[in-house]
Amino acid sequence: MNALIPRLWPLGIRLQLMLWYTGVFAALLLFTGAFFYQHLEHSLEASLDTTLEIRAQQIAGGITLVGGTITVRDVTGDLPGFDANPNDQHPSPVDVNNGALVRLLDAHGRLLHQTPAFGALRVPAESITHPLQSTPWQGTVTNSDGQEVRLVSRALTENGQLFAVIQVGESLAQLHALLHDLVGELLVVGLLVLLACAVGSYWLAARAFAPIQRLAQTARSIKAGNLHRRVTVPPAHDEVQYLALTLNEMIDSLDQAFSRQRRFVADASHELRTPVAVIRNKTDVALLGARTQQDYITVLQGINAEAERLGHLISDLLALARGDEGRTQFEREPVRLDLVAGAVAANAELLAAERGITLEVQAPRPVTILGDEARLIQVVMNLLENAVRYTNPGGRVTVTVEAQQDQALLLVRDTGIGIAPEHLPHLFERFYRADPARRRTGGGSSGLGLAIVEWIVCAHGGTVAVESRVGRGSSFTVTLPLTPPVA
Amino acid sequence: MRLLVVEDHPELGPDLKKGLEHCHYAVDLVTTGEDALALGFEVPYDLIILDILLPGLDGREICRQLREQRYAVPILFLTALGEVEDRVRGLDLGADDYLAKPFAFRELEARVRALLRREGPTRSPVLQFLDLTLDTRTHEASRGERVITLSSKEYALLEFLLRHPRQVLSRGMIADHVWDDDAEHLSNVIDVYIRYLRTKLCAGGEPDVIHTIRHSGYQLKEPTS
Repeated sequence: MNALIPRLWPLGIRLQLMLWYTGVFAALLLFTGAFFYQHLEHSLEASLDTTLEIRAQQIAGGITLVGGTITVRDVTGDLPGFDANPNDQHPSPVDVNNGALVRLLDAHGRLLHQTPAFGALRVPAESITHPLQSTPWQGTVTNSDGQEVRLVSRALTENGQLFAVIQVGESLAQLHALLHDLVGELLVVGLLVLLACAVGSYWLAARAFAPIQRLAQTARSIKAGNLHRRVTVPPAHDEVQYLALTLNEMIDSLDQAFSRQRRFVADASHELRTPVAVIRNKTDVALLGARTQQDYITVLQGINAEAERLGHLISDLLALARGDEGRTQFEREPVRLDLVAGAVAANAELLAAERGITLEVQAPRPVTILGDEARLIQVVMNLLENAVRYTNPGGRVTVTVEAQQDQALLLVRDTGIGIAPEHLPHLFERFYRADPARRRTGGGSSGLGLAIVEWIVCAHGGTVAVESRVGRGSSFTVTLPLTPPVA
Repeated sequence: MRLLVVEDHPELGPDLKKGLEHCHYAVDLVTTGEDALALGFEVPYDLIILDILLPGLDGREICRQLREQRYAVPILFLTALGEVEDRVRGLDLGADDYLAKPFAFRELEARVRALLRREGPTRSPVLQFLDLTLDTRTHEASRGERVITLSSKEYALLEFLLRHPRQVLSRGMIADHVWDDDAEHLSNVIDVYIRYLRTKLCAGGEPDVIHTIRHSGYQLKEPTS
């Protein structure tokens, strides 16, 4: 029992609906029952009045005024023991349900005749005074036991002259018994109807929620492994369809996020595996046999370089992961973009010179923006490294920084190998390879550089665009607001 | 210099971080004892500022565990528990200093400076190498008579170099001590900041004291003639 209560409370939606339906139905039943009862009681009384009226008229048919004397003939047989002597008293209470209730009074309200049962009734004075003033009277009176009797009181006239008052009564016991039985039956039928209503509404609620239940079951069975599945969308344009569509949209975006993540992890692990394989290879070869010290130094240097590449890759992955999480905080300090370009270019000078590439900076005027200096350095660095990597010896890389109206422009142009048009839209995707073979031999590239550039530039409220012609070179344009919007 | 601030108060924590960053420190802020312990074991902080009453592990427990694992990082308790008993207990757990709330930020700043001094080669608040000086109280750098204006990152970098003269410092070490957790992975931009710093230090034609050690990092050393 104790276990049942927490299971039922709080009430489930089906039980709630059932209770609501049943409650409303009970109220409706009560209302109609009460109305019906009232109406029935009223019309039964009215018909009783009519009956009494008719009986009074029939009895009156036997009552005549002949020369100032009232004579009574029992024409209806309702008047056994209709005592001619009004002063004859009945000491014991008489059952009003037994025998007729008739009384006759003269024009002065004096009792002429009455049936024995009538004597037990408490009759109000109006029942006599009203007919004497030619107003018919009817009402409910009681006897000493409290039993109710319907009474009709009429004046009798002869040639327009009032000569007597007749009162005819009928016990209400039968009528009350009838009504009482009716209430009993109504209660039984009503309870049965309510029970049927409760069961029916519970069943209906179950039916109504069955589609939702099915939706939930399907949704439940869709896990990370089978996100390609969708819940069935019902054809009717209703709430259930809306719910199904919403669920499907949610699963859709989850699916996309998952596959993005899967691809990212797969690409990342591939990229991580490459330097590890190189290191393994170098050590395996070195361990094959005795080497000179110079050989070992060469191997160690190679391992060092690969470790550095690994470190860079991990840093980049970490940066992007944090960016995705939205956890990265960007500083907002004044940054001289022209100085940044100059310093980064000077740093890359050695690498460019080794590859026989001319590096040129065109930043004649100060350009100051608000931003995170360290990250902006990274932007210029990645673009420059990229340009140097894909430019053949003898080529030229130019970095330009200038202010145009309310925007700072950073241009990195090269006379390199260029990028085919079909690759351009994907260039900023993580690990995207325009030319897989060249990427690998390029060295130092994580395949994340441009993705990081785009992320940082976007976080500064800027844009990055690329133009390229195969064999002629590429040009990356970063546009940053001189006063970036508040992030 | 990189600091870990462990403070769960929603206002005080960020305020401390902001204030200390204004003094050119790299500051990581955490609000729970578990996070504090994890970072404390992982990152070679120069100083940890610890609140005692924390959700989860409390400050004393963090201090005890760090000392038990032989971590020698200076620890400063910054707490509302200011009774003599509390101070004694805190210091005896292995903390280096104890400051009760409420406190003046200037005092905290000075105590941080004092604790950082203990680790270095000099106890003076003015760091010096040849004709290069850095006043950690006023954040003023100068070379001989020439005053040098430094950005926040440049200042942090120079302070770290001056606290470890003649040591070869790898980019990883520099990144660990000069950048906070948010920017830790930016070690590849250190070269550019070193270049900035070098340019400023040598703007008056002075000889270069920051040496690039190929494949290793950087070293603050007497100029090669």
